[in-house]
Amino acid sequence: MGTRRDFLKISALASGSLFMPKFLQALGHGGLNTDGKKLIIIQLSGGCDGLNAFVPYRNDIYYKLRPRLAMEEVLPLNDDIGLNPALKPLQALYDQGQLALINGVGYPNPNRSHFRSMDIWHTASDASEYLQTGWLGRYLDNSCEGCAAPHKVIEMADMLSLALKGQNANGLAVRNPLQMHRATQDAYVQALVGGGVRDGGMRDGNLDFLYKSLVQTSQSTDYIYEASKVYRSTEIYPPHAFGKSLKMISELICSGVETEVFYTSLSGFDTHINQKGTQARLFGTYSQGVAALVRDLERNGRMEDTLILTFSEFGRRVQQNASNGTDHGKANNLLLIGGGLRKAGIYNAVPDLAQLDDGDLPWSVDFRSVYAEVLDNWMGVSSQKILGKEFDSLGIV
Amino acid sequence: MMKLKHAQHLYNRAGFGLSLQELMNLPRGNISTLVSKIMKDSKSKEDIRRVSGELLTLPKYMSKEEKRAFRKANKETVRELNHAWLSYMAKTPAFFREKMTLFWHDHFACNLRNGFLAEVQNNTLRKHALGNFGDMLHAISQNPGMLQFLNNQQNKKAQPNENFARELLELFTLGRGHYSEKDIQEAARAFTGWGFDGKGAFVFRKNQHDFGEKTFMGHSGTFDGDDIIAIVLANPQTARYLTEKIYRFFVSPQLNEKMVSIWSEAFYKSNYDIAGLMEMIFTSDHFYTEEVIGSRIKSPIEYIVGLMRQLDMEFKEKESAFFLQKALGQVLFYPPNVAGWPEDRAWIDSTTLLARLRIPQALIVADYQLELGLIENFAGKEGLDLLGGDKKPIGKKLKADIAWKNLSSATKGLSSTDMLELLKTLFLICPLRMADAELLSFVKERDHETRLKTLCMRILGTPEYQLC
Repeated sequence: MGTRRDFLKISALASGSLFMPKFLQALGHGGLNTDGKKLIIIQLSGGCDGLNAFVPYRNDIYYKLRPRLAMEEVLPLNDDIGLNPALKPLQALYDQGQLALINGVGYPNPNRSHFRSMDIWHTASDASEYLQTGWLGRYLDNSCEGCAAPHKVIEMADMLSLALKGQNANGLAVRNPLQMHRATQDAYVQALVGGGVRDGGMRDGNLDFLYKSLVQTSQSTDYIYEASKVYRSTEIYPPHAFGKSLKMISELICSGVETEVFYTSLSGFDTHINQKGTQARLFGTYSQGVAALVRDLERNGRMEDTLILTFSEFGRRVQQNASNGTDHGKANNLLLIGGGLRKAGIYNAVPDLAQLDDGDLPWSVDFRSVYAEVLDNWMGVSSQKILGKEFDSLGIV
Repeated sequence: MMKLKHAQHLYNRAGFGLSLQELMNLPRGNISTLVSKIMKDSKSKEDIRRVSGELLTLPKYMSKEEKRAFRKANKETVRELNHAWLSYMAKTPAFFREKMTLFWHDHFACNLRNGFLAEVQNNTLRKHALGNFGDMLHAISQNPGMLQFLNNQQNKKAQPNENFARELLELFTLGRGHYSEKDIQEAARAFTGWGFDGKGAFVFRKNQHDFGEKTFMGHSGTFDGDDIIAIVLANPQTARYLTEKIYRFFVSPQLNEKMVSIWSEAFYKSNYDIAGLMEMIFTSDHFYTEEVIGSRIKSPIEYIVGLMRQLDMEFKEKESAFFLQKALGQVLFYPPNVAGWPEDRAWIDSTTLLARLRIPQALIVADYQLELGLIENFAGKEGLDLLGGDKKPIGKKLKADIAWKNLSSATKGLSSTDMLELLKTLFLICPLRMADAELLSFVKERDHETRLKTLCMRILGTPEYQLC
């Protein structure tokens, strides 16, 4: 195992290799944003019931509509909102001003299908619009010429989500760096990579595109594999694929990678039946994992530069169903956690439960204004270029 | 005399690649002889029949457990159907009709969780695939799967649902920017009351239909759905929109404005004769230019069916075929949304490209394990597990039967160099970037059979093989 310094040195050397075509030369620059801002996205798949996460514990309507599902005990955050006890590790973050909660997040004409709504969140489109690129993919598309290496935006998974697919550039899906490394180090694959490097990939036909993608894959995979060996966390993460992902993210950040965006997800939130138990288990995994991540980052002095955004494709109906669960709903809450928040705490009140939209929480904050703020103020790029229009600033990030 | 490369190109686009058998049986004559033969072979229409109509409605008296079992059985029928269609694509001499059906499956993309609805829709598309677009549009607008998928069952006079009307204009006929929001609202009113009954048959529910006057794209009248379809078809923009899409799918991802104009005008004048348009394209000089040949990246279905046809391959278990579709990002009957699948370069990212380079090895070498982690259970609630999350990794040994007989006898007695030359000609549409000597350094085997397998594996596992 090398040290962080060694890794950075190796990266810098690698980028100086003369045989490398131009589009690769930006790769492996030791100095390219290795200590810059990091964005971690956590996707709660299935439609997380945010109302039982951050509970309006003094609201009679809440108890009336959820006779068997309302949280009886909460950890109060303020006079209106209490934390689901399974999310206890978040309380310290809240108290230290490292957490911002936004209520009523959604978009006009909400869609209750998992697929469709997730696509809308991934592509940052209008509900009536079908885009085939994701917002983080377009972030890559908009990076400086030659900087759009796949490993700049990575997903802890085997397959790449739409959010990370751009028009001309894609992020990298990497669940297991060693496995990916082995696949690209196969002698025949390397022979093909060699052909791609020799040619330089400067034309723009599809064959050149394929070779260029292959060379980038090999380089980026190699980069992440080397980085993954540098730092070992001693923190205890939940024994779960999600916990493992967070651990890998933390190790990569602490090793000084130039990766800017990390994407991971936790699924199982589609709680049509027996919601309480399922949610308690998932919230435990989520909050313990995030707490461990934060401890790791703080110990390494990286919390100030890290922002964690947690979202789900929709919230759930306010009224519980007959199976002690909830059905698909509309607006939801969204969490931002980080050491550098401009305005922490509870951003706005829970939507008025007496004024529901067809039984669902109405939206008041467009999720794209959160993306816009993150892009403009955190990632330092023009959100308008990536989202196609302007959104109001929230003043949180 | 036709050039072999042209025949190959035609088979790539009108079908799923040229197999050795087809190569040996190419007709004498020029390319239009071959176009006629391919079109003639696709005259026949064979329905796929796998699913019983009993699966359509969920009887009310079922217990919870029975309902669960019913849903599970239903889900299984979609997978059955998926395999049935994939296998049929790989075998049928009427491959052109299947390619065209695949195009329409993407154009009228419905993600139906009901095997019966999916099958009925697929057969409707197949029936009209090479017929008249107006007839097809009419049929698909009254198709139970479409009515369900785009919520027209809920489109009622008192509360119109605009979903179908919007997609009809935006995705099926005119394209974005050629209609107003008001046109959508008025069209939605015209389609009120269009639904289907418990057996999947179209019904016009009079008491839910809005018989009032509508104003749609400058026309006024007490329109119903048929009138809206007629107005949209009379608009040349519909022909233009379809021709562009057909161009991108069958000709090249880079639009050639001049050719699209010529063909869309002819398509419009023919009153939307699909076979006529395709014949015009396939017999044009433009179709055989260097900028067109090999310009597309195969879609996952083209890639998988191509391998099946060219290697004489069958999947021993449908899970393997399903796994490949998932891993590469295109599963028949599971389009991502009503806009259909993305195209061309969008198929390629680090993961899918590496998978494509390694799949031939996994198919040809029996104990090679393809390490693509994917969750095993595909369609959870609304196919949730496709959304990401804690996917459990599984290594996969693909179970496929390849009949080597034909390839083996065609290459009998050839030196490695000659064998390589022949296989390159058969499998690739463009020259291999890797030098012969370098490629042959990866072929150490002595005996004919294993040498053949290794060569196939190497040639198929290249970026060049991804092009068609």
